Amino acid sequence: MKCIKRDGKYRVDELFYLIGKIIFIPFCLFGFWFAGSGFEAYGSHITCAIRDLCGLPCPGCGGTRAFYYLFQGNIRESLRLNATVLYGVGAYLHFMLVMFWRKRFNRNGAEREIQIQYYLYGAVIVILVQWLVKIFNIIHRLVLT
Amino acid sequence: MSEEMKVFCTQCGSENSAEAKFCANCGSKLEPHASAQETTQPQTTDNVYAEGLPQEEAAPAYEKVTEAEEIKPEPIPEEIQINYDNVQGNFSADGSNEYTSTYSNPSAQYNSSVPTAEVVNGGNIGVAIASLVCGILSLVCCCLSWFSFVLAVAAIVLGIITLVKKYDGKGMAIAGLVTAGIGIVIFIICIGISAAMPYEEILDEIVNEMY
Repeated sequence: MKCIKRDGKYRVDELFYLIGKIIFIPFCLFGFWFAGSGFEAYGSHITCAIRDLCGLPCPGCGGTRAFYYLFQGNIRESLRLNATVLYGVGAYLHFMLVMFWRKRFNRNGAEREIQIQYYLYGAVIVILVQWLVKIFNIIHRLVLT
Repeated sequence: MSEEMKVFCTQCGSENSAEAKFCANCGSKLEPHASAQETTQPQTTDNVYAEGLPQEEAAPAYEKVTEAEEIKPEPIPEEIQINYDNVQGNFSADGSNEYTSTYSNPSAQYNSSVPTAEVVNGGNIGVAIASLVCGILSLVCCCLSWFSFVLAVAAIVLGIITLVKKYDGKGMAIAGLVTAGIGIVIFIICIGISAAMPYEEILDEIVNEMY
């Protein structure tokens, strides 16, 4: 693929852009289907094994419901349940828009490679912070009880 | 005058006696050993104004300054030696190549802090990215305990490969190792301990109420 290879090396941002273009429509279709009838049919039965074992939520707890509420349009509820989903969708849209803009309108900017790792670092931070906030709130309520 | 006593002036060509030192016609100096057969016509290419002046010895083509041995140039340090085997240059039609701009940049050429070994082992940043992605997924998919454990192991393996092989993306490899480690710790805690019975109902009530 010539579009993702320059100067003999593969560009990671080009590869992610290609993957993002491929999954954009299926992702949107799946999201609207899940928010419509998919969650009630399949999503509501998913439970967290860690929460079942020890009672404390894992870093991914609430992700399914957050995804459901996001495509329902309830951003606040989605952010409260699991901020990682909102961050992931936002980072994906931001990356795709930046790449599209550079390729279409800013030819000189397209020469600079977008550093994907900063998006991933942000995801790690968001996951850990929202998990620690949940743990803290639960322990705080447990102490007060 | 006899012919063997005649000397012809090299400037005006007039005839002079062999014993004469200066030409009787133009006054230029006569060469002492010039014969009649040799000097027939004046050579117009000679420097007229240099006649009569003491001729200096022709300077040698080079000037030897000292008797010391020739000083050999210092060898080029290894840091700035260019490995032409790995160089891929695109040579344009006018003979110039794309590396002329690099050679004109001294910081790029004489960066001695970057050893050549790192240039050879670099690249493959995708391994580090895969390590970090697997680490993130192992955190997010903690609900699926064994799937999370597999992802964490994959993240650790890819991170170690990145660090050992010295690929690009060292920071991402380390972040992948950290997140995978957290995922494995969570998995071990959940497998190792069981929910305490006195607090289980309270915890379930709180968690169901909040989340």
